[in-house]
Amino acid sequence: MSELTRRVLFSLAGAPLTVIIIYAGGAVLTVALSILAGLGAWEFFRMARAGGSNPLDIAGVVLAACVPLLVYAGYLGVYRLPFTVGVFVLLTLLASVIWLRGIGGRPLVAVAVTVAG
Amino acid sequence: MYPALLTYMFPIRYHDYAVGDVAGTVLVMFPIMVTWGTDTGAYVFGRLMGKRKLIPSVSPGKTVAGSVGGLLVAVVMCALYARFILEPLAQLTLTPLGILAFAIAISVADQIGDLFESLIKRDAGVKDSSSLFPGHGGVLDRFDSLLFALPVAYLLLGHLLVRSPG
Repeated sequence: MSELTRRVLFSLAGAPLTVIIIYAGGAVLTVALSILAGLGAWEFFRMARAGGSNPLDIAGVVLAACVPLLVYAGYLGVYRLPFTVGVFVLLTLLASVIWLRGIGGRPLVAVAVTVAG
Repeated sequence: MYPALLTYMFPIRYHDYAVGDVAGTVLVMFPIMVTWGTDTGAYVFGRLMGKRKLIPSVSPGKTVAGSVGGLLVAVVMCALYARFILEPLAQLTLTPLGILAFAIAISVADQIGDLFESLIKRDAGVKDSSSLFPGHGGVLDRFDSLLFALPVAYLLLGHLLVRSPG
């Protein structure tokens, strides 16, 4: 199968699926966004590593995937993320690089890339 | 944070003015269609008239003509979508000035998103962010424009959207 054929077939399948997921909304949209955010973060960290950074990949992927879930929880009124929780997540990342990266592991870059991704 | 910006689909889908599933879906598809218009216009105009490069050090394929063409097609796409899809299906619309502002803002955000992803890929020395989607690269390749366009769309729709009369 040629590259163009694969591209066209994927688009033909992907476009209606996108509309169906958006139409379904709620948990379906949230799970889809969560998967995409997690995969996107994974790709981001792969590229960051290729560019010479050393991010905290697992923490970053989990945090990215949690964002849609937290937004959905806020919409449902189940849980509203207090600002302080975000601060504690940042502090945990900052603290973890003391052991996970150390002096030679460019700890500031590691945290910055993890938060960005 | 960056890939999680797709989450802006959610508040657009459940915008206060979007009553019902169809209206919410149509509203989310609005910035998606404008970015699609921008990308298509940029590709066509770039192929036909593109001589002067936009930012060759970041993305050698992008041209000034493509960028302007993308902007023009975005305005047309935005006007057509607002008139023939948003208004009848969601009972929502934008003023002519609103259409212009929305199209320009989304198109610019789209193109900056595209350039940003090109920059990080170039820095990393990779062609695609991954090969998750056959022929399309990865999640970031597919959604690079939307990651910038969706927050802008959410911000603007809150100010520009009006309920259509009748």
